Amino acid sequence: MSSYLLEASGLTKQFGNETIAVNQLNLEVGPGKIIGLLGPNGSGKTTLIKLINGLLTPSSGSVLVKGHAPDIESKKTIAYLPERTYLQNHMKVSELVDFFADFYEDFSKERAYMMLHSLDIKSTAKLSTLSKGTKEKVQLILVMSRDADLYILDEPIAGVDPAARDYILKTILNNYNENATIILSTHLISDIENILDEVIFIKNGSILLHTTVEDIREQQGKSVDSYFREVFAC
Amino acid sequence: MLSKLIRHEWKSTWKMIAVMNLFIAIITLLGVVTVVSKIWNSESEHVVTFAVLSAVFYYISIIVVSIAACIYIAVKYYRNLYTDEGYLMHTLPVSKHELLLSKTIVGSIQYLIVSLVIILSFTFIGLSFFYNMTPTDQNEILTALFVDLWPELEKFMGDTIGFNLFLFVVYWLISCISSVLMSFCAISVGQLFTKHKVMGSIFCYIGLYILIQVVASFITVPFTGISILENSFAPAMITAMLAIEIVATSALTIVFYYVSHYVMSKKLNLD
Repeated sequence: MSSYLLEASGLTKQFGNETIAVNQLNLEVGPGKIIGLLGPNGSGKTTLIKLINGLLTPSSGSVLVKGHAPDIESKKTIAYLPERTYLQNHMKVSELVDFFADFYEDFSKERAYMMLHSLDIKSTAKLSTLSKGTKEKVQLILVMSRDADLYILDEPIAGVDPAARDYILKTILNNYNENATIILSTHLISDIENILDEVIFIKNGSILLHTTVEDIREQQGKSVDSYFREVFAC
Repeated sequence: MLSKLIRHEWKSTWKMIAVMNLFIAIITLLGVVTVVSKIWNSESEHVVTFAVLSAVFYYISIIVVSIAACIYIAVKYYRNLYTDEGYLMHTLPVSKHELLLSKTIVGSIQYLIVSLVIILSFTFIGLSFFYNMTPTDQNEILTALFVDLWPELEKFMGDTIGFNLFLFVVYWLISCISSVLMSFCAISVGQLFTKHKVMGSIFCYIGLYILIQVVASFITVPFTGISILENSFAPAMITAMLAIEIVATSALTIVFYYVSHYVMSKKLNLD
């Protein structure tokens, strides 16, 4: 079996006859890394993430998670945070915790309640009564309360204020297993640059660059943020 | 995992179905009170008009609740699997069969319950009319049912009466499951459209409905034709017709299930 946690080969997703959102993409990701999936809006980040999670069917090519195409096994491996609210509004926070505990063997209720408590989110509250930002926090808490091998977080800090951003990044760093890999998609690079081991630059559905943050700093003499601005300059 | 899915599905949907059943119970109670209070015999034109309007309201309400239950189950399916909520449901470590089965089992049971409550409602209204009659009228009805009609039916149907009744119940059960899966199938096929997926689903549902009516006609027309031509209607014909309806509806139900499963597992593309 391959030593890679995630492998994509010739992965392509075309919508209709014209739009190619992901184009012949090849990618290999190993364990124990924090990786920034970086690209401008419309570059194919979310499409790639959805393909990895089996929410989109590839037009061609393949994606494997621990050797499995998106299936029950790959879903046990991935803890996925989408860029939208996917929880049912009528449910209470405590019911959502029970829901996750029921379906994910690696879910820790204790960790979830600890994080909810530290963010002062009442477990008796109905999701519909919470603000958009709080809903996003609840969602992040649920995802980070899993002991998964691969965390895929799509724009986890986009919709929250800077103070909450710090808390979210702290939550991510404090709650993941060190052998696990985190793929973090964002365009707010300066906020996450310090926690990244590797970066993937994606443009027009293809990978432009996949390297370590150290390499960018050494070879380009720039921060990831500056280099990103240079590469994606309009 | 299937039992967990069923439990959560039931938990998130039972309240609305309970409200629908409660509504039927309330209008049935009002109907029974209207019938028992004998306002039909009132000399006041306004009171009789009110009674007629109540009856119309009752029948329209029953139709609306029946359609609403079907729409609610379908909308729940769509929202849970093909909108934002689908991002969670499709990333749970469960198989697509388990996802679809949980929705089918819960939806079918809820639709069956609503159908049963409607049947009970009709029964209560019927009984209240009976209770409201004079002893002479009651006797006449009982005589007509048990002295005239039943022996005739027994003579005509012979041993098949119990079996046909059983077939009818089986047909009713399968029809309920089929109705639920037909809406799931239409929603699933609607997802194959690049744009206007909801509209696509509605058109698919209408298309499937027409198809089923055509299939049903193919089954019933020959039997009706034979009975008219021969001026007789043998009990075996009822059995055969019900059996064919059961087989045809079951076959369609299986097709609906597999189309829904195919789209979910091979053609899933969440917006």
